[in-house]
Amino acid sequence: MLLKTKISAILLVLLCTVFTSIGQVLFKTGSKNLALNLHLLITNYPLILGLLSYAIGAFILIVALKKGELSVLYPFISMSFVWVSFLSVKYLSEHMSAFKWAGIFVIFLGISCIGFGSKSREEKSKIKRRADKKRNNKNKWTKKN
Amino acid sequence: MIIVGILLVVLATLIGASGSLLLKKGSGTASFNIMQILRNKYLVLGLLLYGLSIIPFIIGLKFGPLSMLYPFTSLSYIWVSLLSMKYLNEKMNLLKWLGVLFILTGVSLISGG
Repeated sequence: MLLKTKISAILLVLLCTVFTSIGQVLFKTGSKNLALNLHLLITNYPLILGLLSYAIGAFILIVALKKGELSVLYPFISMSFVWVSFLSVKYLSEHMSAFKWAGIFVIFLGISCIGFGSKSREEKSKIKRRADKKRNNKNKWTKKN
Repeated sequence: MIIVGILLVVLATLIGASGSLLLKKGSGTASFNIMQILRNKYLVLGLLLYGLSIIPFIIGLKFGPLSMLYPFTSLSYIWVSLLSMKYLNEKMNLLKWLGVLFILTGVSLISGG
């Protein structure tokens, strides 16, 4: 039984969010030296690395979308909020608050619902198909006799 | 004036959501090949919309604090669900909508808190 959204596609979206989150932290670091000056822009390495990280993320997202439903894969992008919260604490000396922890927990809950929501439909159709097959076999058998 | 900021952020989410729909449409023939991606109309337009959505967002941020405006970016999860139903024949169910609702709440908690 082939799932409409492959696990590998979900893992790729998660990898994409890691890259975009690193990109966001790099943007934040680079924004300190932001000015409309070409020399400053092309020597702003955090900014350039941030853009590169974002581009890699977009590239991975495209490949991921190929192997799954958009309505299932897109919500997983919200994991970037979780990564950014952690990265900001580690690299930007921001603080975690009870609200942030609660938000992380609720996002986990949300993407679990999406995951199970897409699965339960698959499982249901699987069960239905199995029942249909059984019924057909039974019909064939009764016709024969 | 916060309403102007909110409207601009909502506009940004609509543009971004359309972008991801186009990325999905174009992803069918995509592979790990940059040249192939650049020849794909859907992907180029999708990436363009994705990038363009940043503009109304940044302008919107001038009209209010980030913690007030950022939660509205999570509206894109609703738009993408609706667009997937309409244009990709994907099916939503109660559990998936509940998931979207939780994500909206979670994003609001993280950015508002």
